[in-house]
Amino acid sequence: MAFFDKLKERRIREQEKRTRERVCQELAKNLAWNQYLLGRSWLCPYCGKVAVEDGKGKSELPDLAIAHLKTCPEWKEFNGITRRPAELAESIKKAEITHYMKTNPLWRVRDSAGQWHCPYCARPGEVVFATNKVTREIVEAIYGHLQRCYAYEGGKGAAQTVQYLLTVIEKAERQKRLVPRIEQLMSSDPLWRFKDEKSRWACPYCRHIANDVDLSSELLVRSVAPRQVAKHLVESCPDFKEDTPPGATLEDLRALTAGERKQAGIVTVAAPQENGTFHAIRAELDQMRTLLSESKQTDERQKELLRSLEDAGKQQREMLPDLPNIPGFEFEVLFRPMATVSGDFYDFFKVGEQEIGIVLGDVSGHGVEAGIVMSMVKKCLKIHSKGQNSAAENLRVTNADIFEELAQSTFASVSYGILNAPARTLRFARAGHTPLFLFNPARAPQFAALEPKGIVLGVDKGPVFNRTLEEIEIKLVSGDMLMQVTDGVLEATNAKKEEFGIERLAGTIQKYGNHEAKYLLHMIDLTLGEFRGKSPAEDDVTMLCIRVL
Amino acid sequence: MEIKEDQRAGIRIVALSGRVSGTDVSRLTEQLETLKNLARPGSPERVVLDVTALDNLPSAVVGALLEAIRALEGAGGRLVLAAPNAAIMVVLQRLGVNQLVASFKSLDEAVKALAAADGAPGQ
Repeated sequence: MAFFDKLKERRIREQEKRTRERVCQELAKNLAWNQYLLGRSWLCPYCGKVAVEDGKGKSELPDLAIAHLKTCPEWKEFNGITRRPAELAESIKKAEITHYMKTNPLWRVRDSAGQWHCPYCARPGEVVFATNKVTREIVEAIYGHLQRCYAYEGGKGAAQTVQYLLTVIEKAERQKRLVPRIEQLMSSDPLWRFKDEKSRWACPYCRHIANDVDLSSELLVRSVAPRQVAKHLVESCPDFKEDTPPGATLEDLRALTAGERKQAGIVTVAAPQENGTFHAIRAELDQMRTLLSESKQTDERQKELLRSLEDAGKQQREMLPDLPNIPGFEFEVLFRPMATVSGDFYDFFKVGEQEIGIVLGDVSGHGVEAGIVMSMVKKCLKIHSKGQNSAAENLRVTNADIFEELAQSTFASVSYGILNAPARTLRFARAGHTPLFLFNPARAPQFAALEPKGIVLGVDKGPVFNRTLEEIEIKLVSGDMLMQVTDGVLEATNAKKEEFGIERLAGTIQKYGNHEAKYLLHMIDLTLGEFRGKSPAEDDVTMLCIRVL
Repeated sequence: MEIKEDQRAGIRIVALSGRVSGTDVSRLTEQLETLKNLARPGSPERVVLDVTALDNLPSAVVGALLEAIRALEGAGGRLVLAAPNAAIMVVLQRLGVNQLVASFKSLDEAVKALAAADGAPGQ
């Protein structure tokens, strides 16, 4: 009997030794085994629950993990299915959000309407809550926001303070209150809609010419400008007092020099004139190139350029267009710039009564010059879109306009679609951009990469570009998922130097394409992150998704 | 990524091999700028960019490639690609610039074509 007991004991010891060795191996190399809540508490890769509190870095972790595994119903002696690292990471993030919402007042800052403000970007998220109770819906919505938040950077970004958020909210609410009054003033008082020769608004209080307030069309004066004016008055005008009339007269504003130049290096591009000339933009570009070249010479100039880049990047992110709200369609965008100023861009604008233009593009390179070219291309497309119901024709005219203006090594790849929502059609042309992906399980084939011919903007003056460009029209049906990405997605590489490529993207779209657009983009982003592993991102990433309901 | 230079029949051959990673992009761009700077009126430079052993061509360097081609052609010279693989062709086709970049199936073909165009003796 003693012999059998000893044998049994020996077998148990051997089994335990093997289990410990296996656990140590998995902890050493398996990503699913290395997920920590709040960077400390170890998550079981099988059940996804916190199994070891404060386990990270502890030499006892293997033993503590084994103690948990023995009680875990999903372990099954290593025969259970481990959760995907991305799934565990998502659980961790959501648990962390819940934790912070409960313990950190910074995560519970709301405006007067109860709308939550992100502790990183300070912008309002799509979350409204009246009490401090943290529900699953709130956590999901905040998680969704953080996935898109440029300032959060996957948790690496710097959080703001409560005071900062409250100041942002106070300013935003003040701006909101001012907008109706400014709309009324801009529609009735010439002093409030005075513009310089480049159609830029001049502030009747501080007499500053606002580069970003474009009054070149009545539509802009009525729609965008009042919000921008309110922003200027609240955030940057030194002379504005709500109950005091402006100090300047129309004559004062007219006397402002037409050639007043903004601080060197700040990327705000003057609106191109409707006649298609781009002298202002060209001057900006030349000035920037000079600055870039000079910046290599002195530390002071480098610092100046760095400040300008930061301003430009902030401005670029603040100017991201709102997603269209069209019944029967769902729009979603994921925009993740790599450099301070990104070469990726997207935009939506009205083309006709029933049609909107949808643009996604990528300027070669990053930084100031890419940012300027990006603004130029966007503005050209927008100006030429008015009443132009051919996507290809708009690209042709835009290419002709910008060709002379681009440096020889700079080009822009652009996809442009004109969506007619009532007719459910999309006219699409592609200037050297990645294909348009169409997925619908009810179609045959279910997945298609639509790639009409086209050359990037800015490399051919006209003959080859015009001859090559093709346009297709897609008849949209319910369940269609249209996906457009920039090359930062397809050319992302992993440690083995493999590219993510169309096949992996197609696989992810086919796997998650039935879900809502936001979820699909989130899953592509996660898959891309998993694929990339520890390899750093080398390019901006932008994904635009349209779902036909 | 490795870059090697050679001469054959008066034609400059720049051979690229390996994989162009993010850190190689600026090195390759500089190399293409060097080729661009060879363009001088009256001395038409003929260059073959031998990509037989190159795995990929990031779109980030295509701008510099086009600039070098334009500069050399502007001075009466040429720059062509030799033996681009399928992945490189996909990038050139996607950007639509395959029509602006002459390419040959092999290094020999590229050298022969440039030599014949110039009237210089072939290999």
